[in-house]
Amino acid sequence: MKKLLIVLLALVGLSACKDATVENYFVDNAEKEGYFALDLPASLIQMKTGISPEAKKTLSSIKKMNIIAMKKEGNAAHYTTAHKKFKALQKNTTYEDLMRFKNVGTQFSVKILGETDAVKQILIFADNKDMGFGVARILGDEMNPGKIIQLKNEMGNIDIDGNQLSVLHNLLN
Amino acid sequence: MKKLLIVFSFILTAQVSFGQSIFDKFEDNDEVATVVINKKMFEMISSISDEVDGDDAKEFASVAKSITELKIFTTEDTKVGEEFKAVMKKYIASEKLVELMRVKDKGQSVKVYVREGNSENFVKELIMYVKDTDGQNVLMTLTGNIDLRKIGKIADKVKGAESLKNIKVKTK
Repeated sequence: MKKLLIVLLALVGLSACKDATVENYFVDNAEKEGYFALDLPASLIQMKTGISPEAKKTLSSIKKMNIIAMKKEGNAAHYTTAHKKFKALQKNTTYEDLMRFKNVGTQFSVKILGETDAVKQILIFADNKDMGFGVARILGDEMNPGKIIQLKNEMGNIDIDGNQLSVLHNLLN
Repeated sequence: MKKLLIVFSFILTAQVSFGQSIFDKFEDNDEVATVVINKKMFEMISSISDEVDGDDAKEFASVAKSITELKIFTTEDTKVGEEFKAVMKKYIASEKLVELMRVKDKGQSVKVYVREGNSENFVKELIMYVKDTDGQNVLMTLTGNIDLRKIGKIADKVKGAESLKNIKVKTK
């Protein structure tokens, strides 16, 4: 009985650690050859003057963004291995699937960690057969995607990761 | 002690139970374009729509909330289109889904099967196969607690789900 519990505990522990693998992925690969890495602190998000306190609160829920990507061109030597790692990361089960799209060689998926109105992390995967792959991670503190989208609608062009928001946006229109 | 064990097993099964469906193989097929939208996304869409004013948005919010998963597979490849049909046939036979409707009109054919729910207008699962005049084959599966009378709302709002408009239900 006790042994069983230990095994179960270990399994639970393992699955909890999966979160760490995402962190590791970003940390480990950022310095490696062939990868493109970018860290954006939230302070880079352009704050327009005269925004409402609520809008400010929503914006401040976004803490930072990491992007890591690899171009296929010129990375023949390690592309296959890197791509496998990317695929493995995509299968991470700690995060919950939001949606996936695929069309002629291009794949796109979004996963989140946290509740729908209080998102801790957003992972966005993009993969193109000819161009390469990339993953973006948005870290935040109880981010509310609904509020963020509303912000975008209200204020026009705040420069926050317009791409993935527009996907959400497109879906809703 | 035993309770603890039960709790742990629950946590585990919750993680493993995202099983593979027989349609998943189409996701890896290069000839197929796919859209998969999961429960969380619908929850999110629902809460977003709910904050928007207007009855239409509110109604959409309630429809979105009732859906747990949407998958749309599209292909122009005739062979893969046939495969869509074959896999669907196999699925409806093994899962005992019932036919909701079948339309054939000017080279377009639409077939819709459902898993019946608790009441007449609600279904737990809906599968639709469309073969269009322009050679497009669409296979769509929708799970949740779906109100057939409101399904058109999804077609209006979610890109790629337009074919849902094909479903017309007699309202008494």
